Amino acid sequence: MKLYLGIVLLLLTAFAKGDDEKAKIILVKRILNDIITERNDLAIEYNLYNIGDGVATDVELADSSFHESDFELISGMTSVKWSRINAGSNVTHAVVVQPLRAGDFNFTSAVVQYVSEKGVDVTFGYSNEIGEQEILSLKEYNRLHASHMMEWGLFALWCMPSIDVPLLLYYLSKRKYSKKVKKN
Amino acid sequence: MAPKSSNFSKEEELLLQDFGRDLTRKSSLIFYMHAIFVSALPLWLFNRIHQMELTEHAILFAIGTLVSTYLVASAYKNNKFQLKHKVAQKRSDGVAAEINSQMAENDSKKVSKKEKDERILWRKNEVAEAESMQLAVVYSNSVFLILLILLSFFFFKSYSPMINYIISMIGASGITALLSTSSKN
Repeated sequence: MKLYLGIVLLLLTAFAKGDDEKAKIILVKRILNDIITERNDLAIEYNLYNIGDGVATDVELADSSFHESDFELISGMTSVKWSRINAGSNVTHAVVVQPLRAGDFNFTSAVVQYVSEKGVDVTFGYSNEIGEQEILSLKEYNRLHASHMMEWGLFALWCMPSIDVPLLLYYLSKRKYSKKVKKN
Repeated sequence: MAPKSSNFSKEEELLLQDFGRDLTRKSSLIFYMHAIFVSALPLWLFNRIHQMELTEHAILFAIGTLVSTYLVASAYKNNKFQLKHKVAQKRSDGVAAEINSQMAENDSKKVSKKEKDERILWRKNEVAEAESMQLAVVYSNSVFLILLILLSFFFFKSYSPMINYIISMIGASGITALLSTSSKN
């Protein structure tokens, strides 16, 4: 009886351990820019975390959000493969694109597919959806964020004739008549 | 409004001209030139910083500049009227000293006290007119430009450029004109 129970427990443990050795990948998609502007670099970061106990194999990341008509790919690839991601480890991938048009854009999820354990079908996972973000036109960006030091400097220069010249004339006249009083 | 007729004596007409609000043609021209220059200055800011094309918004800019010119010029007029009396009081001694020294140089010519007083009054009016005009321009321009910058780049920064221009220009010039109508005793 005791032996029988021991064998049963051993088998259960074996199965349990076997069930736990499964990979589970979490995909996080992040936009690294604070401001997204037309014709300026936009950096997107993908973080894949294997939070399972098993090794994830044949990992493929794909993000089809960035169509050629809307974005120009500057650096990195939107489809990437890793042969394995060990349990408890993570990988990061970055892509740099340039928006071709201003306006609101819906940044959808990226997709990851992987084999979570041997002999099992491919598992699909989706990243977080960033949602609708505004892509500023270059004009609007310059209006809101450029320093405009030269413009302000020139403006100050052009204000001078309307303020400094009459002020100077007033002080010259004031000094002239103050001196005459002192002389007398 | 006082009728322009020969009912007034020469001295009374002179007094009216000296202490009235009406401007001479020359003064009006100077004021309007200053006003149009200072009203056109913000176009640079709106074109380069707010990215408003001059050709695209030509009509808006023209109307805004003209309205602002009128309001700023009326601010000059009101401020000048208030400042003139104060300036005249301050320059009284200086002008009297100037006239006295001029007459001392031409001491061969005997001038009556009345004529001397008239010359002092005339010269005092001339100096006060010039200085009050200059001060009015400085004060009104400073107020207008400061208000414009505050309205356009702080309070209404996030508004669309066209709305920003309308509110800033009308607001700044309107408030400048309004402040000039306040009487200080």
